[in-house]
Amino acid sequence: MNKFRIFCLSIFTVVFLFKPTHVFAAEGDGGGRLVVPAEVRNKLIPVALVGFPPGVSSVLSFDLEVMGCKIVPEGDASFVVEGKIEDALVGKLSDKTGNVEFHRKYPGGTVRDQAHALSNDVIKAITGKPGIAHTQILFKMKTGARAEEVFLSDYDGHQPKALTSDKTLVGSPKWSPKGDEIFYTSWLKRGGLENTTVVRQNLATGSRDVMARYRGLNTGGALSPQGFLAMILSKEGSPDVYVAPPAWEFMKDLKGENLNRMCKTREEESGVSWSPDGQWLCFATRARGKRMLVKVAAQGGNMIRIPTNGVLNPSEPSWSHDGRWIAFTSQMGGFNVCVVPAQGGEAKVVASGEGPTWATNSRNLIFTRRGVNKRRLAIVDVPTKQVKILPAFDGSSSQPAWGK
Amino acid sequence: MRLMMFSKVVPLMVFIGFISIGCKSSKENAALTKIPTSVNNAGVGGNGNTGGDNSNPLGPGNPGDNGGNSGGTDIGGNPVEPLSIPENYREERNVFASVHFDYDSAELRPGDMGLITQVAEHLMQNPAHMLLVEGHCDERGTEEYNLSLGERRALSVAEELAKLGVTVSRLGTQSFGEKVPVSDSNSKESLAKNRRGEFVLFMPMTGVVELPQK
Repeated sequence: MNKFRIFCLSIFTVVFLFKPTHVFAAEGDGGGRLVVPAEVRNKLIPVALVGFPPGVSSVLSFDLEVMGCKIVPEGDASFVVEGKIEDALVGKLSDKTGNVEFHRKYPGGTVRDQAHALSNDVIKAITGKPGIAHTQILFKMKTGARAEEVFLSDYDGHQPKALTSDKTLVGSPKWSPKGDEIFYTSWLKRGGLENTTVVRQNLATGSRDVMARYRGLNTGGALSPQGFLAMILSKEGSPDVYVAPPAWEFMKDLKGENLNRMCKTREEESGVSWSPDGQWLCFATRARGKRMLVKVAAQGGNMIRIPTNGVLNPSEPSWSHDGRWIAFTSQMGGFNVCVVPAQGGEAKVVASGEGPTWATNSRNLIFTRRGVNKRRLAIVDVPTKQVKILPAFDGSSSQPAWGK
Repeated sequence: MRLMMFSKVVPLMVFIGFISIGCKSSKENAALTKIPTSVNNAGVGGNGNTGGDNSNPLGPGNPGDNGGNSGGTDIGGNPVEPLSIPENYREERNVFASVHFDYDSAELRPGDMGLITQVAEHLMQNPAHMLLVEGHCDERGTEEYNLSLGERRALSVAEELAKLGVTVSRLGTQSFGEKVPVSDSNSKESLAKNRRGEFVLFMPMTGVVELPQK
């Protein structure tokens, strides 16, 4: 019991001590009018960083390049971000003709937090869309011969903290839509058996619940905004997609009689992802030997194919927050991160890699890239296809899930 | 004769196994609340859950049932509760060789049928034994896809064992996707070795067991 308390406490610590401190609203706005070139949307935006110490400019460079900028010398830049550290970070954004958009101070938090806040302001000013530099990610990391843990870190891979300490295999960490809970698959040994188990974990308290532990495969664990939990279970003899109603409890339905079975195939369904409005559930399946993405209405019904023209063997779908796109992995020799309109159509390869999930801006994807002996996380800016690789973690890392 | 002996031994064994699970689970569950050691003993395993209405972890112990679980449906070849391995059982990984699969396939190879028949015969001759079939994949698939493919492979093996007469309630399946390769190399041979189904046999620690000759 003590062990559990310590575990809860450590989770508590993770969430409350290491969550990036809120950076207060920037002060001293110098209102200028920025001239934004028309071609900015699909091309890398040339930005210069002037005056920042290396620790700050490395954070700014990463953030801005993730969000579609290219760091260039001042003479080649369309925009100049200039600043320094006084008692806090001070930053100024101007265009190349010298129009000043803002000139602000970023008190509070760490210097990294302050730099992320400045990056977000720069992106908001140039593109009109909110930045994602303050977001966090979940992923799983290999920590031993037969051990993996779920980790939480800043979106750029900094401040990684373990959320589990089970020393067992884990997979498919996912966020609840509100971001207060996570779901993952654990191979925790119970009753002499490493039976897969879908686990829900509260980020604030660290408390955990078993959401499914039937015979065979229990994975998926994707929560809809309405509270429906989609899972992949093989309890009836084949991996199929099931949906549990809100407030459903596994311990009160040990035969799964109140689960809604969304498909009944011999094939191996995988990778469930809800549409942001919770009306559709997308997953990968196979029909007549051909692997494909399909969607089913939340209440059940026919599987409707989502065509991914131009690529083969789709899996691991992720529906964008604006509802317009589905990212997925295609496999044709190697693995490619692809994007297709949510209703299906021409698929576009945006990076080599696998397991993409969308940032809240519906523009960036985080994914896994295999290297020699190690898997690493990377981010692609979909419109420009610019890829940034995250710093290497101690262990092989994969299955990132992008949060708020 | 064998059946008669069995009917006396099994209930005792079941009872002992049950007690030991019950004691252990309260300690083990400290690390993760509400994980039952098995669905069947959830209500009495000392973890305060009352979901299970069964009071016996291995069912009624009817010898005709091969001593296995009585719950679950046999239709898909897979009852819904996880296998419950009594604490006085030991795990034997190397009794049987592994079966192997073609790339991106869960179809059994004709050459593996002899091995599967051997496993089935062993289980039918040793009614107290239980079997977990592990499904594994090579790394040429995405992680999520491989997890489901590995399960599909394990289920193909379990289905064949059921066809040969093994009570499905003594069979468990578990996928490990690409997580536990036997070979780390990228060669064609290594990948082929990694696409496998492994037989994990669970048997009582006491008593004389004649393992099949390799």
